[in-house]
Amino acid sequence: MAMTRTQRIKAYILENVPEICTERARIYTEECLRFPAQPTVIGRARAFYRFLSEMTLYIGPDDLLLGNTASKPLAASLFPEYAVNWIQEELDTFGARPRQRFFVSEGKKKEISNICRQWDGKTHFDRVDYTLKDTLGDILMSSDGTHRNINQAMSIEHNQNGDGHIIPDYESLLLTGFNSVLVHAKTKLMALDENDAEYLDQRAFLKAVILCLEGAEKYAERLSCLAKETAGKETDANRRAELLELSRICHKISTQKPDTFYEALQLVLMVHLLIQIESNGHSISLGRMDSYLYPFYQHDLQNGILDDARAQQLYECFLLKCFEANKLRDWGTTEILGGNQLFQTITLGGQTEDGETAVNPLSYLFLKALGNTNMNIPTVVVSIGKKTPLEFIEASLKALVAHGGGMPAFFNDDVAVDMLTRIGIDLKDARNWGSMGCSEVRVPGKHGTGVTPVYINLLKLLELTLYNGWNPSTGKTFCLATRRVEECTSVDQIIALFQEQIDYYLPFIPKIERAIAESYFTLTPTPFLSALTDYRIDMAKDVSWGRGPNYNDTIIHVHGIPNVANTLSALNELVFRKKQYTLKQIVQAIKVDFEGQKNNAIRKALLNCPKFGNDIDDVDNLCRSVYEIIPRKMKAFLPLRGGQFGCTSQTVVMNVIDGEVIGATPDGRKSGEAIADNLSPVPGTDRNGITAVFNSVSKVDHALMDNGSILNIKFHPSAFSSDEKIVKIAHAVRIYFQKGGFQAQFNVIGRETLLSAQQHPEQYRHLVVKVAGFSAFYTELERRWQDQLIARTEY
Amino acid sequence: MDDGPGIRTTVFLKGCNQVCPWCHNPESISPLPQLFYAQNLCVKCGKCIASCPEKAISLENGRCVTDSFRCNFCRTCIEVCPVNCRRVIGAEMSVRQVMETVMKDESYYRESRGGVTFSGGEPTLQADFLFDLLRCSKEEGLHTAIETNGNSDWSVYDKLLPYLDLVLIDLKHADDAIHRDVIGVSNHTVLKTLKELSGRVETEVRVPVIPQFNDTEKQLQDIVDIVGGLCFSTIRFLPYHTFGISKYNGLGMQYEYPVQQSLPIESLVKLVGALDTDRLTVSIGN
Repeated sequence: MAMTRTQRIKAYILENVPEICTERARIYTEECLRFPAQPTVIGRARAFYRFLSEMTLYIGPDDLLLGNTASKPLAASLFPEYAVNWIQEELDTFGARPRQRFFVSEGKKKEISNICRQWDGKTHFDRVDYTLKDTLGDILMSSDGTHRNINQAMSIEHNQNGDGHIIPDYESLLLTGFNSVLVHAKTKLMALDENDAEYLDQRAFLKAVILCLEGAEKYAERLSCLAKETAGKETDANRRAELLELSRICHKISTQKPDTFYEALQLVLMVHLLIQIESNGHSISLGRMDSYLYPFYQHDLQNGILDDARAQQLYECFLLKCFEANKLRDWGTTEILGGNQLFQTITLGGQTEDGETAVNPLSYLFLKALGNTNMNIPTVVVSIGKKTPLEFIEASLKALVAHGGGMPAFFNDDVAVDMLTRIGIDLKDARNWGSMGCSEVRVPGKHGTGVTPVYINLLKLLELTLYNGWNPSTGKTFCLATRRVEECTSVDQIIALFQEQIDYYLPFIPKIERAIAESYFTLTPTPFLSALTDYRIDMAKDVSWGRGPNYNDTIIHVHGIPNVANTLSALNELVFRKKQYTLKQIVQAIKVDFEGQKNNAIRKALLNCPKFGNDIDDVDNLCRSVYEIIPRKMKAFLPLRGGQFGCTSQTVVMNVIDGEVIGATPDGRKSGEAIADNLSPVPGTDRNGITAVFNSVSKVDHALMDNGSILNIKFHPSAFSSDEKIVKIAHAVRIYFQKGGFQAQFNVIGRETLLSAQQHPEQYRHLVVKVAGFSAFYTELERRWQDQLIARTEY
Repeated sequence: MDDGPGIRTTVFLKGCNQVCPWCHNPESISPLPQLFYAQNLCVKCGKCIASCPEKAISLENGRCVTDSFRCNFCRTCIEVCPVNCRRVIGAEMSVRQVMETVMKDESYYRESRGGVTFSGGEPTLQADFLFDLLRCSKEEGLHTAIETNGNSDWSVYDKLLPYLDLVLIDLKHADDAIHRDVIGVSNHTVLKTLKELSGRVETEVRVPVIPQFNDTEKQLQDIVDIVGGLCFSTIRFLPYHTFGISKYNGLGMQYEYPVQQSLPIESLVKLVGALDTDRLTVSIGN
């Protein structure tokens, strides 16, 4: 059978050996470092403009959409302005990695080395590190010299990447086109008050915005010329016509607003890629594509110039274009992520400003496209509310089966709106939310970029509590408990001591956020992204400055909540209720990792206590209380960027690493074992069926953590084997959401397949699985993560 | 998700009056609580052997074998086991306890038009208990179903009927001699139950298709003819599978059915496709 266009494009992309492209790094180094006295923002805009004018552009043989971030498909650019230490360290190993290899020629190695040397001591990483050392002093710890933490209770962001974590305002851009943004910036520049103390800063910013927009225009024009040139050499008449059409579209959108679905899609893609060129921040997301593209789709249908098959084909090309953009990370991060994810998230479904369902025919088409492309990137999620038709949930579940790799994920629209309105966001804005990254909830265009300063290891904090503040693995006591834990006579007293530890560590967070946010604003402003974020041109301030009328949200990760609930519940049960063991005995037992017969008996008793995920009120209520601790306490602090510290219980993929620094804990967990992933029950402890898991998880007040939570569920494929069964799961999802659950994502894959893939990875190269908020190729995951997936309970 | 329409909770009542050698829920055959032993977890530390007051446990061929005649369920071995490889299957529960558990998922039943299914074992063996459970379920407004082998006296079913929305009943073989020979009891009672049920309550007849027992076209056709001859509209064929074998080991039982390969669903589709099912609605697999 002949391959479809989608299959051909996929094959064409995957043929490429990922390599490192130095074009960007070279130009940015020259433009930013050549004339250090110029305003930083101007240097960055110049670099952006010059790169877009000079970079290699290409068109794949079957491409229906144009744009690229580096010189070849799957090639990755370097962003030396953020960090170079890890590039220098790993330069010789990029091509020798066991997975996610990047080819670098010897000549390029020299060039990269030279570039890194020029940036040494001048990067974002260096500045953050300076400030952290200055403001935190001895509190700052590190196991390897770069990855910093505070007594292992909090890990600090690595600071090797850009700001990111944003959904730009595509809806407005599609209505007005580039030219009107440019006119806006120019008008604002002329209207600046020269007597304002900030005049020169504002002027530099706006000039940078203008330069960036002109660079974008240039990029589109160059794509248009390339398409025309390629058409001239093309012998196939159909392909020639396609290329000429692309040339026309790229020329048009370089300044004007789009009128058709095709033009709109090309504009969105181009802008999305340009933002990834300006900065390599994670999670630059696409928002609600089915909603903002719908008017164009309708326009085309009415004019008879588009049919569903064509719209779906174009969208499949779009998804593959997102996949084509690649990213280079340090090996440690790459290894646990199982790939080079950019975390580009697309949201489908949801509601309109008036609270009606926004599901439209495009939503269904886009779901179908997902099943046809079967890639792990980009991430697609569906937003399901009270008014979402059941039919759409069913279509989403069918897309999940067709995709086979955990997409789409399911989000509760009503809870998301509740999250945002509770922090004072306007209802209409809240209803327009889109999913950003893994589970964060953002208003496109109105939310600024988001820093993720720290990952709180909550189970580690509980471990410190049990040792009266002492950390057995570092030997350090930062916060000596005011009374000994053995004296506690109720679980509430233990929680009080736990809070004491938390209260000691939390005030470091604003210090860390300040260091990071200050550096982004000072060293790596993003004027192009700012132009696509509401209010920034009017304020004449970069988006990384935060504040202003924008909503600002700094993301605080809280890891290990289910383990903490299980631990407290087990202590409550055995020590205070049954009085079977004393706290002292249990602490003795965890100290020696439950070695010895007596301690093993204690471990068994602990394991047999009620666990989160089984619809048992005692432990679920504890989980509910634990969930609330950090978000409530974080309200007392204010980020440098304004807005708030918004929490999330998502663990990304850190639950394995987090577990490695925690000794045995009274939930029965042995020393070093992984902690629960996200808000999912600890693997293997959920034994009362999927409804019990849903019931337990929906007991927490999800709206308190506006950066969301994730629940991973693993289904055996037989659970989806008929339409009738899919309807049942759709109902279950609906009830889970009615009860207040926020998110669920499903891997539909048998344990036997995962085991077989471990043994015969060569036969499963394309097996995609949902890991945390994203999907990855299973065989490219590190072994620890593969095992984690196998351990999840199967329904 | 199986065992009837919508999302359901299935309550398994232990004890059965047919002994099918391929049974995939061997733990449900005996009416008593049973000791389950997960050999793959066992570290052979010998603690259970040493601690058993009845001296019922011994190490044989690398597994701790429990003599079920000596064992009196004192649970000492479970408590001393360091790796949790021993547990008891089955628990005595009151009607209220069962209903409390069932009602936890009430909203799921309402949304999906699901409910509760009482299965086994053979639930009708605990007729009074089942009657109370069904009555309480109906009082809660739940959709109710039982999964039965049909091998109880009609008077038992008759009493349950007012509280039943759906009966899932097995018909395993049309030939009484083979039925007796393999399952140990005659199929007469089953056939009588089918006849009586016919037209009185929504019923789904289920046929587990077992290689070397009832998997010829003739054998299956005979079953279909019986079902088609009564006022039933649906029949479901379930493929033989061997997922239950590991449970036999854990219970210290022998899996004696000679077929070690599951019946692929495609083969079953082919088998059933050859049958004359006339006006019956046919489903295959769960």
